[in-house]
Formats: sequence, C-alpha cells, structure tokens
Amino acid sequence: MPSPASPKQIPANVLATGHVTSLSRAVLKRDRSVPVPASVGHALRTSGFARGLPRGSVCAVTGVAPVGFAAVLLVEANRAGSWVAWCSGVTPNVRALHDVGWRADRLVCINPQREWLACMGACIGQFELVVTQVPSGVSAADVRRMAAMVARGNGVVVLLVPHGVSSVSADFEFRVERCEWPTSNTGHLSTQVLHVVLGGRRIAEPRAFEVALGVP
Amino acid sequence: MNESRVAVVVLPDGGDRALHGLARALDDVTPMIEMIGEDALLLPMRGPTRYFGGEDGVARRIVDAAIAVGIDNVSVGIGSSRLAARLAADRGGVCIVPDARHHSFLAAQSVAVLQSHAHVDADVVSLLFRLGLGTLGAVAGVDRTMLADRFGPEGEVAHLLAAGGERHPVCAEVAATQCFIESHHDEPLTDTARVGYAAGELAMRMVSELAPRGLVACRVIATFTTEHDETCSRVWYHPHGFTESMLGERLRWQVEKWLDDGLTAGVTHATIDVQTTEPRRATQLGLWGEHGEADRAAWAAVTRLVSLVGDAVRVPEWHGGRDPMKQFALVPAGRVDLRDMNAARQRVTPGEVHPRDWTGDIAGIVPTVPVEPCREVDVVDADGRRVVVTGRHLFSSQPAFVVDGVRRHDVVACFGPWPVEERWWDTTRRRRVARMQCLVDVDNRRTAWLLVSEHRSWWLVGVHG
Repeated sequence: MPSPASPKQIPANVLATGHVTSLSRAVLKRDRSVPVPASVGHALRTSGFARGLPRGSVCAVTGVAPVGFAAVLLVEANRAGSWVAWCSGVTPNVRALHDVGWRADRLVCINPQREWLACMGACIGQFELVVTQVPSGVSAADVRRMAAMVARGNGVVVLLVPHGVSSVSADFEFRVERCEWPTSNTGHLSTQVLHVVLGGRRIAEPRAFEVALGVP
Repeated sequence: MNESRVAVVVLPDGGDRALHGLARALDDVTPMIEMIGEDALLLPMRGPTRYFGGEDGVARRIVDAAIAVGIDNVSVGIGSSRLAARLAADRGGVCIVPDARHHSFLAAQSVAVLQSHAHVDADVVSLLFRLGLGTLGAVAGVDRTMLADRFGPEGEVAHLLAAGGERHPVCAEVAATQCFIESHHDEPLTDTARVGYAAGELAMRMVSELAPRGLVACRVIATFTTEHDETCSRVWYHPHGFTESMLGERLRWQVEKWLDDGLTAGVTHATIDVQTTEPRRATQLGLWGEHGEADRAAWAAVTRLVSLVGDAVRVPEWHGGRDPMKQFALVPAGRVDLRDMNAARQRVTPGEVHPRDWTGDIAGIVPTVPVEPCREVDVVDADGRRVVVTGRHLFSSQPAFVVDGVRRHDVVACFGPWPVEERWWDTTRRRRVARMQCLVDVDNRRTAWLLVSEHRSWWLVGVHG
C-alpha cells in the first residue's frame, strides 16, 4: 500500500514570502486512511470516517479480547501491504493472525523489555501500523508524547489495553464488551463473535457493531 | 606450499561468548582470522605454518589457545579449501587433510555438504541428488559448462567447490580496498546500544555505497577504535555477500563483546574495509516497484530496533507441527534477509519449507495469545475429583471447574479431548498429549482457553484474548 511521504523541508526564503505556510506531497484521499474490514468500516463511516482509520491516529482496543480484535482491525491494511510492528511483551500467536488473513512476512515482533519508549520512537513514522501495550512503568506524559509523534506521522498506533486496566485517551477506542462462541457441529470452537463499541475523542456518538473471527 | 591451505576451528557447543574469547586468543597465532559463522573461525595457514613449524604445530597451538580460554572440545580441520577444512573439522578433534589427498577427500563427500556447509541453493543440491550425482566426486566429474547451463551460477559454484576450488580466495594479508567506509564520533560512544546503532549505520552506508555499483561485500574488515587507541578488528566473510542486517548484526556482536571486556574509553572511530565483493544477484522488481518507500522505512526501523534490543526483534517463520501455538516460530530479525521478498514469503508460507498439513492439528480457531511459559492448572469435576484423559481418549468425568492457582473458574463448555501421539516409534522422544478447548467464566466474562494434558497434568497453553 503506498504511503504518503513526510512533508519536505521548506526553504526559508519561500516561507518568508508569507504566501506559503506548508508544503507536502499530494496524497490521494484514499491513501490518507488505512483500510479496515467491512464491519469496522461501516461503524467508522457512520461516524464520518468513510475510508477507514485516518493516518496519524491512536486507537485503543480495550475489553475482553483486545488481541483478537486488533487482529481483525488490521488485517485489511496488512493484507494490502502495510508493515506491522508488534511492540509488546505479549506476542501474538502468529498462526491465529495467519488464519485471520495476515501476511506474516510483513510482521515484526519486538519485545521492548525496558526500552519501550526508544523502541516506539524507532517504530513510529517507519512502520505504517504499530501495535503496542503500554508497560506499567511508563508515565502518562510519555504516552501523550508518543501520541503527539503519531499525529505528526503517517501511521496508526493501536494500543492494547488489557481487561481491568484503566483505558487511555485515544482518537478511537474500540471496547470489546463481550465475546460469544456459537457452537458448531464440528466439535471445535470455530467462531468467536466480538461485540464492540466504537468511541474515543474523534467519535461523537458511540457505535456498537460485531465482528467475527473464524468461520461465521 | 599451497597458498590456499586454511584451518577451520569449530566450537561444537557454540556460544558467542566463547567464540569471541577464542578469536581474541587466536589473534596471537595469526592476523586476518575470518569469522565464518556463529560457531566457526577460519585461519589462513601460509604465515603461521612457517612460524610454528608445520600444520601440526599450528593445530597444537590452536588447541592450546582454546584450552587457555576454557574451551576444551574445540575441533580443528586443516585443508586446501574452506569446504575441505570445514568437513575435516566436523570429524572432531584435529583432522589434517594433506594437500595430496584434497581431491580424493572431497570426492567421497555427500553432495548435501554443498548446502549445509557452502550455502549452495537447496533446490540445486536436491536436483543433483535426484540426477544421481550423490557425491562431490560425481559432481566434479560432470562438465562444468553443462552444470552452468542447467543450473546457472549456482551450478558453476557447485562444480567449483566439488572440484576442490574456492569461491573466494583466502587472503593472509590485507588486500586492496574496494570500498572504505568510516565514521568519526566527536563524543566517544560508551553505551553498547549507541555503539551498536553506529555499527548498524556503518553497515547501511556500506550497502548503499556498493548497491549502485551492482556489488555486495563478501569479505570485510571491521575496525573500531577508542579514544585511547584500543582497537578491535575482525574479518567477516559470507559467500553470498552481506545484507545490511546481516553485517549490522555481526558488527554489533563484535562491539558488544569487545565492550564487555571493559574498555578505558569510548569508541571514536569505526571503519569498514571491503576486501572482496561479488556481483549482486539480480532482483526482479515488480512493475510498480516491489520495494516501496514503506518497505525501506520498515527495514531501516528493524536495523535500528535490532541495535536497541538485539534478538528481541523477531519475525515469524513457519515450522509446522501439530502444536497450533508453535507452528509459527519467531526468529531473530537480524538472522534473516528481510529484503529478499521471495525468501520472506517462503519463510512464512505453510508448505514451502515444512509440510503444510499435520494430522492432529486443531480444526477450529486457535488462541490468539500464547501463555509463555505455559501454566499448570487443575481440571476438576463437579465433585472436586481431578479429570484425566483415559486410555480410550475420553474424559474420566465431565470437567466442571478449572483451578488456576487459588482461583476457580466455571467451565461453561468444553471440546475434546483430542489426542496427539508424537514420535511413537522413538522410546526417548515420544510424546502423548491430549488437548481440550474450554469456555470458562473469568471475572464475569466468558473466554476460551486451550489446555493440554500430559503425564496426567493439565497445562494452560493459549488464551483467546
């Protein structure tokens, strides 16, 4: 998926004329967002985001199954060619991501240990999608600084917030309220239905929707 | 004396710390020691043979140096090519293949060694086998041009090595430089991460310098110098040439081990002297440019991340097997070439390297979060009795609760057990387990767990989190 370049440095003499305040490469409207699955896209569309998650935004995924929902949320973008940095002490089961439809060759897993801030600094602006979980020792001010870095860049950062941990302020918040496990005749758990509520700073009114993992 | 005589020193138990110590000890035997792998070093024999009174003397000296740094099981092989010396070293102890027996020694070797020891393409080696060329002698007996016609450059290399030749000549002294990269640091670098980052940048500059000329570096001398003139210099070799991440990882290893020794000052100067190059393998770009800006940005980020946290930066690799939590392994990003898109796709595509389908696999959805390390739990029935899996692969009673430490969770539904018998023919490695998926209520929310029963104990291995 093509990604827009960072704005070029503007020569001082051009700025001094007062006619130009900023310059950046022209970016197609469709490239200013990262694609999302249809069910998530519908919820975003009704909130005024017709083309998916806007680049430069921070999404928090909270509730009962944050990793499962993050897998669904990012699958379309990853399938379209976006690189994903999974910067968290909790690594995903790549087989589960592969089953959802991820391109595992564009996934890099980082266990940041004590270098979470430095690792996030290296990831933001370089990877189009970054999934992370804020470690317990990191201050709220550092998280705000990280969000400011994201806003200046072209990527999307997904914060995984485990159940029971207080949420963080984010542009979009996907709260997985509950999971359902429809029984099947195969004798295996074949589907997980996630009931999600979309909220956050940029959403005027919360929207509820469902997504399914596995064979519906 | 044959100028191409070399000694390969192999540490059977590996260990990068030991390899660094051995390399430092062998610096007294000869300069220009090549680091050729994670467990092996190469020494040109021309100089030390004369100095230490023959190859026996050099071998003795190497073993003594290894023992002096606490390595008592080192293997030394001496031969007339890298491949011959490596094969000799694999026999254990000290093995010297005289120059007169060089060709007969190689001729008897299986063609598989070209893949395992000389980085020849696995497909080429496999096809040579199927064509009836099972030994290096048989490969060497085929006309070189025929192999080159059939297999291209890889066939030519296979013939060259089988016939006792060398892909790149061994150098006992510094040759004319083909590319020289250096960096000065006004503020001495003392922190391992910063020095590692500087090393990664050097590697990136070297690759950028050579790429427009259509070259890759196969042999480089990397030198780091401190403010007090302490120097660490190593020769690195790879037959296919170094990518940025491959060389970056090696340089970081070099400086990290060196800094661990304890220095009196920070690093102020670093250089890379490219001694041997090879034409870059042609890469067919996609119509619209397969390597886009996003790819390059991701690769640069991986290089930086590796300098920060090393092997904690990992990428997936399909390993297959029956365990849904281990079918994809995570391997250090520094050890794979992320730029080779075809190799990257092969690495993660089920069935490309390891089989795709395994009997005993879970048919439904698999847990999204592995529990590492897996946690022992208890599965009990409504009467509090432990539930086990019987010889007929049935539950001894219906599971009602999962006891995780001091917490007891209601089992809403369970699926299984599904038995898996692995390596039943091998008395020492056989494994018999049974898996169960269960829906449990945890803190008033319903979630699914994957449990494994082994030796009458239950283990929580994955969570649908």
